Amino acid sequence: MMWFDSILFVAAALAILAWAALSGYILLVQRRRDVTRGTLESARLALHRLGGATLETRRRALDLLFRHSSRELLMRCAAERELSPDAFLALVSLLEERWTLDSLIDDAMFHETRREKWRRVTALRILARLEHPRAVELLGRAVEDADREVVECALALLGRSEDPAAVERLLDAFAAAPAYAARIAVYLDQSPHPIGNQLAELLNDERAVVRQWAATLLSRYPEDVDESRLAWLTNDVDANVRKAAIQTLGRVGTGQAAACAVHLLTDTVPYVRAHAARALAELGRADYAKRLADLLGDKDWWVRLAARESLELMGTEVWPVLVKCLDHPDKFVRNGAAEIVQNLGVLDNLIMLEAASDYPTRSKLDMLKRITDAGGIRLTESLVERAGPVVGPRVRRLLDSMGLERVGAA
Amino acid sequence: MFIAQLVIVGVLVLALGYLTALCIFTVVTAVGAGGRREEAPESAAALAASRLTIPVSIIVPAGAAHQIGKAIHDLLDLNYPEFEVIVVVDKPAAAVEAIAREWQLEPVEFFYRRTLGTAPVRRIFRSQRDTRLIVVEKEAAHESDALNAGINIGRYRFVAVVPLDVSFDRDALLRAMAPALDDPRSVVGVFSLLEPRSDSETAVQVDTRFLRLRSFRASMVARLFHAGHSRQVDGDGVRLWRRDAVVGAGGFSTRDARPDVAMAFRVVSDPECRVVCAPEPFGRTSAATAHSAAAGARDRQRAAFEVLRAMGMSSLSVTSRHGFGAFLEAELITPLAQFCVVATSIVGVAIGAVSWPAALASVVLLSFGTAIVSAAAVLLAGSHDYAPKSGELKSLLLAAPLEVVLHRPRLAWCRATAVVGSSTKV
Repeated sequence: MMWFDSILFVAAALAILAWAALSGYILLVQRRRDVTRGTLESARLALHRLGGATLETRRRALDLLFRHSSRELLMRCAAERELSPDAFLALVSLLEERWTLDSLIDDAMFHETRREKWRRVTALRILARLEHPRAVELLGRAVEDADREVVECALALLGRSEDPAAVERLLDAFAAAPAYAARIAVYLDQSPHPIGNQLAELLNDERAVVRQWAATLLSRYPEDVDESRLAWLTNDVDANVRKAAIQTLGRVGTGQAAACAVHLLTDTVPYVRAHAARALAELGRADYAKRLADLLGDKDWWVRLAARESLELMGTEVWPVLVKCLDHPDKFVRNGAAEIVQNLGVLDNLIMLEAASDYPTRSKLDMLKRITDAGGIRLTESLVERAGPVVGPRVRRLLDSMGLERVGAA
Repeated sequence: MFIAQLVIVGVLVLALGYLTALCIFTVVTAVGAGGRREEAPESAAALAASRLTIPVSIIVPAGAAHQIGKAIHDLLDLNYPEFEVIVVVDKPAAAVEAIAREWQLEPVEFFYRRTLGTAPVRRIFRSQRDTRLIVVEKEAAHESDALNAGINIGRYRFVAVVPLDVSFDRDALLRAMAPALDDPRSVVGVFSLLEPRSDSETAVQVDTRFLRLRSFRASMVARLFHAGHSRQVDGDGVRLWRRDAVVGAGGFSTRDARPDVAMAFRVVSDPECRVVCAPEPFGRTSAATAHSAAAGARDRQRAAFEVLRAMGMSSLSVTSRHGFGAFLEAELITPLAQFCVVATSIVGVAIGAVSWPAALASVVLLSFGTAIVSAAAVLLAGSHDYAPKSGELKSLLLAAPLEVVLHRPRLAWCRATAVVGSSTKV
């Protein structure tokens, strides 16, 4: 089959050629990169040496270095985030002298090819750092682009900008591009500008994801929180919105917050119940400890965990509620209560005191037994270990005297 | 005889045609995407400082390893707003004694949910020095068992499984979590690659160039196709899972050859759910030895059959079949096509269906086709930190055509043993 052999020979030869061409191209690209890195390093050194020099002197020094360099290389140098403000200004001054800043604006406007995309991103970085009057407008335009990397870069630059217009753009993007809502929320949350009023308005947005993030972010602006509006959102159809509303009410709420949290303790969605429990703890409402203790036996683990941690956060005030839970028919409730007792330090104090005494009190021993029964054998094991080598044997004797299983730890 | 010759040539043409098409598609896509940008993601600083960043439970299945101090130190030093580190060690745990003083480990009672069955947990320690550290001492069992124990104890919505002997920079977790942070509602799993360390001692003993090339190819797949559904299993990596999805899938199985691969299919229970690849690597790991690379190939092949069997028995939901085609392509069809090229060339020469120069040409075509794909992957690595430097670059490009002849036969043998093992089971 001569035809088959011929095809194979040609294909093999083409493969070798393609491999050689691609390898050569890669090495060429690598060489260019090495040159770029070298130039960058030289520029950094030169600028470092000219630390206190005037802008003109620095610009002239760079002029020599970048005499044969492309505009892209100079742009890349100027876009370096680690560059000092002086070095940045010198590079931008050189860029402006050779190609004018208008060329950067053109680059930042739009892109078609991949190469243009990176030029656009670089130009946006430079203009944003330069706080150019058109920077925010161009970043706003980039946020609407279809390319994810361009959008992410623009959002990050808007997030870092101290221009109030940048926040407006982010808020616009927040409402217009729900796909990036989580990322935009991060930037808005770190904004140096007060945006409470705008966020409060977004609570009425028809999109659940916007309402959710607006409610979440509002916790930074207690003075702008309309508690009744947030309370209303605790009845929202979207569980994430209910969760966000109760989270914020837990942090900044006053009057209606506790009532809303108690109402959500019976929500159908587990994470809403869990956040309601945490909200009660943040509000410091130990008077609702009994309602929280009921959640120690919730069917969902996260709710039980939230209840436990919330009760723990309320401190020793909840002790009477916990004591009742130690004899609860539900094992989860007993276990949870015992763990809270342990974590509050009550158990350690009690057992150390009784172990140190030659005549332990009967009532306290009963209490210890209830706690250790509720907590199980590993609770006592870890108790003995924590007591250390000196007190440990006494604790062990005490536990023995209570009829508990002897443990071999410590 | 004529029919046999026709079949041989037909199979050879089909296999070569398929591989050539795949090679062209990959190279065109890679060249179109171009080299990696050098800059770190702009958002890293904002995410690292944000209270809205999703917390993560990091699980380290340490097994019987003794030296875990450095790994713990590196993990706790990660630049991430909220996370905990759960180290699961086998009893008797010499590792616990080794780090107990440094980290002021104190045994505590800890009522965790036992939603996934595991071997008995003996003790749980919490560090008094850094309360984010929890050490779990349990009866020795399969690694999956340690993962399940870590998932039982983990508090947060996402869990990251980080193997020991991994080096990474402080932003590694931010990079790995990026897809989940962008879309926490639908991303239930993320695979973040680990590049092989080229400066390790094993690199001197074993020629790691082929393993580096494999890693670059895996990175290329991660970068080019990370946005969609992904079941990537090639290359070492750190896996992140959404806890509720793993629990819903019944946890990691101790019976699967690659529990992470099986989980990547089982975890997707909803049409909205996705398992994706992080576009940036997590860090570096020790360069695999030739032996462990071969064992990895065998396990992947077994895993591919296990998944295939599961699909056949319809135990996987329809939604979990997203990305199944890409998985089949990488783990079954392409290796099979490569095997066919070599096998049919040899058999073809033996029965006179193919001339020996033609057989040689097909092997050359296969070798250089693979080399072209590897070169495209190296191009895509660009000037990233993990990309090869000038000296290594030349050596990698020159070694690429030899991979099929020098490295793949051993892997093919391991895959073949896995195939035989799987068919015996059936």
